[in-house]
Order: sequence, then structure tokens, then C-alpha cells
Amino acid sequence: MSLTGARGLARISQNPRCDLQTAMVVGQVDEVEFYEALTRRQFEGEYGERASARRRGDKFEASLHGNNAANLRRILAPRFGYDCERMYVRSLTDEIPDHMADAHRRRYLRTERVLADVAGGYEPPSVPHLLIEPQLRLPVSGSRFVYVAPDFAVFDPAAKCYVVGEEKSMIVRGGSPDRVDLERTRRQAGAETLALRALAEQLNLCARVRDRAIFVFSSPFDVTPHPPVEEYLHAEVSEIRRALERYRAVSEELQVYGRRDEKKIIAHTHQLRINFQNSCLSSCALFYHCKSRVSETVLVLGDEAGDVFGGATELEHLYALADGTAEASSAEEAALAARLRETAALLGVEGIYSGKG
Amino acid sequence: MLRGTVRESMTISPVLKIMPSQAGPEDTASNVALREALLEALSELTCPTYTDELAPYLRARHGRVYRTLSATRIEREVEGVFHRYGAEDMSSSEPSLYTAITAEHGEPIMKLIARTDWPLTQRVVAATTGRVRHLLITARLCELAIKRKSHFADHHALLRLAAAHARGLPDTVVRYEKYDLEEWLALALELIRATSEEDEEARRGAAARLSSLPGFHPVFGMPDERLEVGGV
Repeated sequence: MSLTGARGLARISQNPRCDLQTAMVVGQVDEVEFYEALTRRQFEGEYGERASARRRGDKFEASLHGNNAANLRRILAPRFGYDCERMYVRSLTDEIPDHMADAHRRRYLRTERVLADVAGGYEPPSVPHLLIEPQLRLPVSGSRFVYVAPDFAVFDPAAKCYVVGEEKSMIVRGGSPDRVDLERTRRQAGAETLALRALAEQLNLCARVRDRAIFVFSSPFDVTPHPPVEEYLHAEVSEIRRALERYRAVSEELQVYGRRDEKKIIAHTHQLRINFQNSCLSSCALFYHCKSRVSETVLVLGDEAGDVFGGATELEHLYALADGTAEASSAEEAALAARLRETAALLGVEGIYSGKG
Repeated sequence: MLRGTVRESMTISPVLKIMPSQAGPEDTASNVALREALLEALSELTCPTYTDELAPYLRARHGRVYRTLSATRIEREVEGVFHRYGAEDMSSSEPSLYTAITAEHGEPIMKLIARTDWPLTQRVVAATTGRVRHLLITARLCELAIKRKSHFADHHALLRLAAAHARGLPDTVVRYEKYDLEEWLALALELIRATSEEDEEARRGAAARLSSLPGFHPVFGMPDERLEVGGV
């Protein structure tokens, strides 16, 4: 999975205390290659998107953007009171394709120009009703940026400004898509909203940008789009702000600024703080590497064990407390030790902690 | 380009002549042949055309010789025109390929290709042009598929291209392998008649305004750096 742009920031926001993950985002590494370079072993787990899911995603996007974004116009027009046949569409990737030199910066200049026209009092059709893949950016430090690109941005006549939008081919059933997928998407949109606000601030349009986004999902019928869903993203925007702070801090610490630099990150890996948790299994290629780093602590038993016994507690100490061979250093430890012995007795596995059960 | 009706006759564009002084390492036989084919295709389609429309069109028109032609290949060819010709050379050179430009600021649209010998009003994209262009090219593809079958090496590919465009027509359902060409053509022409005059006026106004901007080039438009907010 990509660690660039909004996706990378969304990853950081899901585990902001893990500086190793943040370093991978800052260094724009390929996760699997990084795992193999770090561990000198082949990555054998499942990783990334299934090819069929990616094909479906590409097909969904093509169906929305083709023919002057006909399908996207059809579903957005009623929401914003437009005549869909008269909506002005500009595609920034049609104007500056990916293979062109300096594509992100040039697309950003054009997006900035559109917003400058809005600041100058222009409204559609003097500016587009719909922008496909506008380019935005979040400042990291000095003149360095993380570039993010919403799938689209639609002009809201009530707010007199654009609202970012995300297209996901996940199917909506019973009125909402899968919760886990939606969470990632909301965080991405949070990053994009923050970036739009950053641009709007430069142009004195900040008051027009709210923490919200439009989501276009798929219906259960082929790749027909579901009517758009609008969601407010206050929590996600706040989490992305925190993620950006971690990005800046780790970037400064490693002196890596938005270019691929695996070697430097590998050299610092053991100094970087990790925050091992259950969700790492489904989200990070370094799960087994980090699990080995915490294998002697309670964390290896799971998040709940870490919450109850304290993440830094060594397993050996816990076993010793439970079988009475170590003295409790506090009343809490003594209470825990007693609970562990009770539980073992209930289950009929006394002595398990000393390996004799 | 965007006339009120689609012309029935097809014009064949003049063959691109490369003057010896302009010939460079990019001017291999295959590159020259590709440029000629693209110029001819644009004349046949009569309007600026996206590279991911031109690639399948050339495959339908010429068959296997363009079997692996990609949109990116065409974009790189067009991008090379900017580097190959100086601004002064371009105004007096033979017809070539370059991009359409936006009406607001004259920015090149790198995937939307036009002939450089078309007047500026045909190469400008105003707010209404996206829609009218789609209608025009849909109508043109249907017309070619009906009337010029023998002109295409792969007529079925042309039908699929026409059908893909027809999906963007309002209230139109396109069924697999069912090509209602006459119906699509009639609907597109009706919609063109309703909107083309407004679009032509918008493009004329934009062309006149852009032409008066300092630094604006009639073929290459306005480079992005000149338009940086707060810059020159």
C-alpha cells in the first residue's frame, strides 16, 4: 500500500506514537522492500491490495471520470443544485499527466490559480464546478511539503468554495460501507481538507473551508455510483494535524525530507520508538519485526494485556509474580498477582506460570 | 472545429514536411509516420481529441501497426514539439501537433491534442467546451462508423469507441455489443445544435482576451511559471 500523500498521513494518524511507521512514511519507503532490507528475510505475509480490488477501483474511477465526468456530474449535480449537463469540469491529471517533470508542483500551481480566482470573486462557470484530482499540499518544514490529491473537489455555492471528495469502489449496503475501510478513507479526506484549508488561508478564504468531505461509493450493481455521502471530519482533521506534527518531528530527527531514503531509516531503526498493537497485524508489513522486539514483554499478548499489566512489564516478571517467586513492588502488582493465581485455580492450571502445570 | 453540424466529407491533412534545418534525432521514420497519422486523425475527428481517444482511434483506423500505441507515447510526442520548435519557428512552420488550452489562463491541457494550424478559437477550452466536445466527437465517431466503414482496418474497434462515448449522452443506456449508431448520432446532433452557439461565443471571447495577454503564445499558450500567484 502506498505510504505517500494523504494515505501516509492517514497511516501515521492511526498509530501516532509509532515513530518507525512515521519514519517509513517520511522516507517514502516501499514497505515490503524495507522489511526485507531490514530483516534480510523475504516477506512471506499477505500484503497490499488484491489485484482484483485494484482493477475494480480503476474501473470505478474510469466510470466516474470518463466522458467529461458524466457519471460524477450526474450524482453531484442534485446535491449542489446544478444542471449536470452544464457543469464545467477540469481534470488536473489531463492537464499535467503524471509522467511530466515536476507534475505535482505544476498541478498545485494550477489549483492555486483556481482558488485565487475564487478569492477574486469568481464563481462557476468562470471557475470549474468540478475539479478532478486537484493538487494540494501540506507544509512540513520550510519549503518542504507533503502533496495530497483528493479524487475531486466540487464547488459548493452555499459556502462559495470547494469541498474535497473521495471515490471508493467499496460497496454500500444498508446505507453505509465497511467500517474499517471507511475509517481509512475519512482520515485521507481529513488530510485533504487540511491541505485545502492551508491553501485557502494563503488566499484569505479560510472561513469558507469546513471540516467536511463528499464520499462517492459504489452501489452493489457493477460500478454504478451510490448517491454521494457528506460527512463532517472534525476528529479526523484533528488526528491528521497530530500526524503532521509527528511527521515533522521524525523528519527533523532523521534529517530526511520527503525523498526516498531507506538506508538512513534502517540505520536508525533500533533507536526509533515503536508502538506495537493488535491493529499492526492488518496494517503494517513490519508486524513480525516489531513483535520480535516486544516478544519478552506483555505487549506480545495483545492490547488488552498491555492495558491491564502495563506494556513495559516483562513476561518473566509477570510469571514470577503469579507463581510467587517474585515480590510485588506495589499494591497494584500484588493485586494482579493474586488475580492471576485465582484465575489459574479456577481453570485448574495451577503451576502454569512456572511451567509445571 | 466546433461547427454547428458535423461535416460529412473527411479531409486528409497535408503530409507533415520536416524541413532539413528542423530535423532532429526525434524525427525517425516511425515518429514522423505517427505525427502524420495523428494530424490526419484530428482532421477526421474535427475537434481537439484526448490522447486516450486518439490511441484506440488510430488502432481502429490503421490496425496492427498501432496495436501497442499508448496515450503516453502520444503525449511525449506532443511534449517534444514544444522543445523541438522555438516560439518563432512555430508560427511559420508546417502544421504540427500541440495541446488545447484553458480559456481562463491559456494553460496547455497536455492530454487534449489539436492541430497547430487550427485557429485559436478551435483550440481554446471554455466552460461549455468539455460538454460540446464530447457531443461532437461522439457524433463524429458514429458518423464515421456508419458512412466510412471501409476506411477502418478494425471497424469493430471503432464501434466500441463510439459506444464508450455514447455512454456519456444523457438518458442513454448502452448495451453490450448493441450499437444504436443512428440514435446516438441524432441525439448528439440535437444537443450540439442547442449548445454550440453559446460555446463558440465563449471560445471567441476567451481567444480575444488571451491574445492580448503579455507572454501569451498563440500555440503554446501561457507557461505555468508565468502564472504563479504573486509571481510575474
